[in-house]
Amino acid sequence: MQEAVATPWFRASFREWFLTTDHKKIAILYGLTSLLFFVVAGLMGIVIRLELTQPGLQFVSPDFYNYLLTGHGAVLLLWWAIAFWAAFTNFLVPIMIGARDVAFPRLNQLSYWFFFSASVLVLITLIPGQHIKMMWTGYPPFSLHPNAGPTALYVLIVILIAGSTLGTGVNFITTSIFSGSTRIQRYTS
Amino acid sequence: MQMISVAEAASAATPVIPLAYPAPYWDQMFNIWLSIAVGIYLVVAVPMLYFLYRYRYRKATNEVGAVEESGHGIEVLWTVIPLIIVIYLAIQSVAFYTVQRTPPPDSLPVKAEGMMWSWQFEYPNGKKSVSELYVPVGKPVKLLLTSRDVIHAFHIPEAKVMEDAVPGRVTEMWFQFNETGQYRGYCREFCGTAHAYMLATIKVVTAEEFDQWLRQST
Repeated sequence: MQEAVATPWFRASFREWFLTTDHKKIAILYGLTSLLFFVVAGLMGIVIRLELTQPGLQFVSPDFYNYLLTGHGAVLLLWWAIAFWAAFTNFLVPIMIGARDVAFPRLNQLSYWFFFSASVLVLITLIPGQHIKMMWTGYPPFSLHPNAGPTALYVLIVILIAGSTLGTGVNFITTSIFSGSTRIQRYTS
Repeated sequence: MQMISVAEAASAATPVIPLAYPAPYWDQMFNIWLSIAVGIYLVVAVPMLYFLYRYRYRKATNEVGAVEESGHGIEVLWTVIPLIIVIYLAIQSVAFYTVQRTPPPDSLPVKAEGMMWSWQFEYPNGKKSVSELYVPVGKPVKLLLTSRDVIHAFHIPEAKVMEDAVPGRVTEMWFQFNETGQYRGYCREFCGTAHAYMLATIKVVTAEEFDQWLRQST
């Protein structure tokens, strides 16, 4: 645990960003990762719409189109809808309840790096032959079919995200109940 | 028999015979829900706009909002009225749903099997056809759906019916076309590379043509 006052996020070195347990730095890391993947999903969406401007196939193959649909859905859901709130929650909740940091800063760090690992793994699906094509829902038995792409990789990505959100969830429930300043609690309740 | 009475009621409400059943039942149900939803919306939104204007902020007259101590009467009222509406919607939805999902007893059973990426149909006399579903006009058809490999779903937009075709299970759906012609059945559960091309042509023909076709080359 960092006892000394941490360097403000706008003056921190790369090493400090990498090893940080500070809720504001983690919030900014979440926000940047999430925005990056928002752009990736947006590009996929643009290609889908471009393909749909006319009936039939113009720009992509059927399998690549299915990959774009899957990627667009999975990335928007897992990197945007699930993760972008984590940026705001991490930044604002400790400030709003008057806590010094979240209840478990190391768990918070672990959550982010789980999320980051999933972000790196999902880039592997961009490699030809590794396209995931079972839609983000991944229904069996289709997800077990060779036509669906590397299902095990997708499941690993989803499990990493699940670990990340579970850690964050536990962390923020604990933080909201136990870490708030007593002065603020007296004022609000 | 209950089926026919609802069908008659539907055709009595709309003078033209609908293109396909059970589409008009869904439309009726949708219209009931829509009118109730719009009614509730107006009851909430119109007074809200009025109150926004009536009790707007004015300097020195109402800078602080008044605290109203409400009695139990109004709370009972706004609990009981929505409860009655919800119970009514639940009962009529179950009634509509039962009619829409239960095949009429005189319907023609046809087995439909989905596979990557086409549909195969089998008629009671053993005749099979691929990607072409012949049905007689004005007669209800019961599709017994299953799948050879992964989950598919059969969808006919004109009749507003869709049902999953699950491997190892038989699911049912029924429809009836009242006009001859060609319509399309779509696969509506993502099933791989050629999912978008997994279509079936529904050929609605007269009863005589249908019988003739059914007897051919069996």
